[in-house]
Amino acid sequence: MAGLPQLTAGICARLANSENEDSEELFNSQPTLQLLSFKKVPPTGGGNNVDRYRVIVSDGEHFLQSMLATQLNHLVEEDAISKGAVAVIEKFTCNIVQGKRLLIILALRVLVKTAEKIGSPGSLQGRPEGGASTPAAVTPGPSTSTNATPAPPPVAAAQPARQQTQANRNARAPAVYPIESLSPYQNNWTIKARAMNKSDIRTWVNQRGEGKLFSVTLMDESGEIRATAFNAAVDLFYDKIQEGKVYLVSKAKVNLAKKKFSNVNNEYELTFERNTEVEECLDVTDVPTVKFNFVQISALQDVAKDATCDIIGVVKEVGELSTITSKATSKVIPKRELTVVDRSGYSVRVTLWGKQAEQFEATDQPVIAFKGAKVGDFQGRSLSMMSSSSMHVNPDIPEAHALRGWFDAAGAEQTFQAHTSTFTGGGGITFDRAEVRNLNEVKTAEFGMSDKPEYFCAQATIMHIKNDNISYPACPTQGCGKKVVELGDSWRCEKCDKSYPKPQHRYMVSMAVSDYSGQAWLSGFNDVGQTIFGMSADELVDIRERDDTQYNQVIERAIGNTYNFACRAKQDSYNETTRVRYAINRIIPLNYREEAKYLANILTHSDWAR
Amino acid sequence: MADQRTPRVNKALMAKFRGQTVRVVAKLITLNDGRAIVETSDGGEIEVSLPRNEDLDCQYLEIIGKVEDERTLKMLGHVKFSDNTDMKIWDQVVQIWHDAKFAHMF
Repeated sequence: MAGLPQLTAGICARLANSENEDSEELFNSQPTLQLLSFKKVPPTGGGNNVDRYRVIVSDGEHFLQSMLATQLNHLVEEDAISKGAVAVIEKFTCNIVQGKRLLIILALRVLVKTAEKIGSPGSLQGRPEGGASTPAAVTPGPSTSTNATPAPPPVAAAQPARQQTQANRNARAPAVYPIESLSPYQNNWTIKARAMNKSDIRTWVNQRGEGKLFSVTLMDESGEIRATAFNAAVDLFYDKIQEGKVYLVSKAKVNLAKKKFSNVNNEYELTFERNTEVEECLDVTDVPTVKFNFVQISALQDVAKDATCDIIGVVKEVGELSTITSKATSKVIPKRELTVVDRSGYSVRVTLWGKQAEQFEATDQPVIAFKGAKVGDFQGRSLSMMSSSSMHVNPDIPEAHALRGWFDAAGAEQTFQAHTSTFTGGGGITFDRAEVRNLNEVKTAEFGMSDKPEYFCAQATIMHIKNDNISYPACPTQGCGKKVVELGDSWRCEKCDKSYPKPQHRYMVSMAVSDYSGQAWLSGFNDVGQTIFGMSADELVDIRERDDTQYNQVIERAIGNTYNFACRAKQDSYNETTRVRYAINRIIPLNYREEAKYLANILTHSDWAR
Repeated sequence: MADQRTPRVNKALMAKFRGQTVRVVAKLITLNDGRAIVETSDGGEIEVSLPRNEDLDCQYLEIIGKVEDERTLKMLGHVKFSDNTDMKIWDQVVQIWHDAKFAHMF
């Protein structure tokens, strides 16, 4: 192009590398550079409420980011310079801003107001900053850019640490962000993460139509995040992403996490869209494999219900594959229960669902690590696999080896304690003296009148037991107490979808209890009946049929006994009336020693005594 | 008989009730020939003379008897207590019984 001034070639490279040079001489040279583009940057705050201009300067070989000193802003605003202008930079300085070299142009002399791009400048350290991305021209000779200017080590201070993947990329090299730093406020990011827990494709139908989705958990050393692809995106990504491999992901949408559907520890989650980019990454050295945080099975009692946990143990027993009909969707779901034990001496049941249940191979008592299993309080404590849980058979980690050794040597013979308790409410319900109320108070304070159930404790004596209906025929399957219906010769359980020749009777007791203040009707289930009658419901039903007198005796024996009760008050609507009903969560026979101590204490030490 | 007031005592209090009928909860230590040595709820030892050579077949019992002197009791009747009896609690009962605060109850 005739008439265009000569740019000071190589100056950009020198500037970038200026640690090795005599800076003063460099900074006093007045290079001629082309100003490729301008971008207004809003004020950075801190008292500076003037716009600033970010300029890409080029020497024909490379380009650099620079900022125009505010005193020069007028040049842009008055249109004295514009895209492609060539100028002599009379005064400038170089700063390290956020780990990058930034030129600050303090004074310049415009040579040409605007021109076409001279040469094909390539990036030196092409780092598109969030929000200020400028198109980088593809360097024809990548060797120049990668060898001449080693990237300055990132000064990580307040910024997320950035790594640079220099490898086989001709386009701009993306900066890899840690998953921790992802947020909806910044969308020019790339993460390098391992895909874990790829789910199956699930379809649904609702009022708006039908759809399909799959999700996957992505993990790097800073954290993990769930990513979901819907409908069309499923087709794009489902086959591309394979569990266990590492991918570079960018341009996915960052949303607030829907905690209901995932237990992954992140406030946000990703949605794959049509323009999301997923590339397999072969440099997997710094992406860790699964991280576990194991809990001993004995300590599961301390984990809250519905929380998730990781455990590792030996599969002592494998249950048969069974099915359950979901009440919600009427779909038949396969399930399988495993009994897992560990060195704490406890055992726990882990439930597998769907494909996982079907595909489980009952090999010889393997060590399995479970990650993100949901804790339930079914019969004390139990674990359930969720879509975001994962299971690793015989993992190559030290805990697994230790367990294998222990089990093969001694553990196999050991008897384990299960968290099972006969109380319908296992863990958290105890008789708490602090919660004790007298029965009159329970009624006047209208316990249970609000929508939520309320809990209280009471010490009361059984005055009367409703005689007509003390039990019901129930499903004998362990854990299922549903009423069974008599169909001819057998009894059928709807929930388990099985029929039995004989039902197992379970107590359903309604009794009037009194304390010094008043009376109330409490209802209790099997454990309550067992405690007050001292025999199983089957036995009592038997006696009732055989010998009326004996039956009455048993009932009478139960009357007049005092117990500690932990109760739940709840409103119930029956036909048209709404009534508060008191259900017994736990019935505890009195320990006289404890009670005496308690009373003596009140008499001598409490405030009441004074 | 019904109006007879039988205060609960331990060894320390027995002296106060000389000649009166009291109740003592005690643990049987030795028994021979119509006389028993028992340990009261505060750890003291007293001697109990049994009527008609009655046999005591329990470890803990409440003895209703007349105080002869500060360490002898003439038993009139007894109530069997469980082997699980906690003497410390019993002593507390005795203390409370004699506590001025509750005098109106007893």
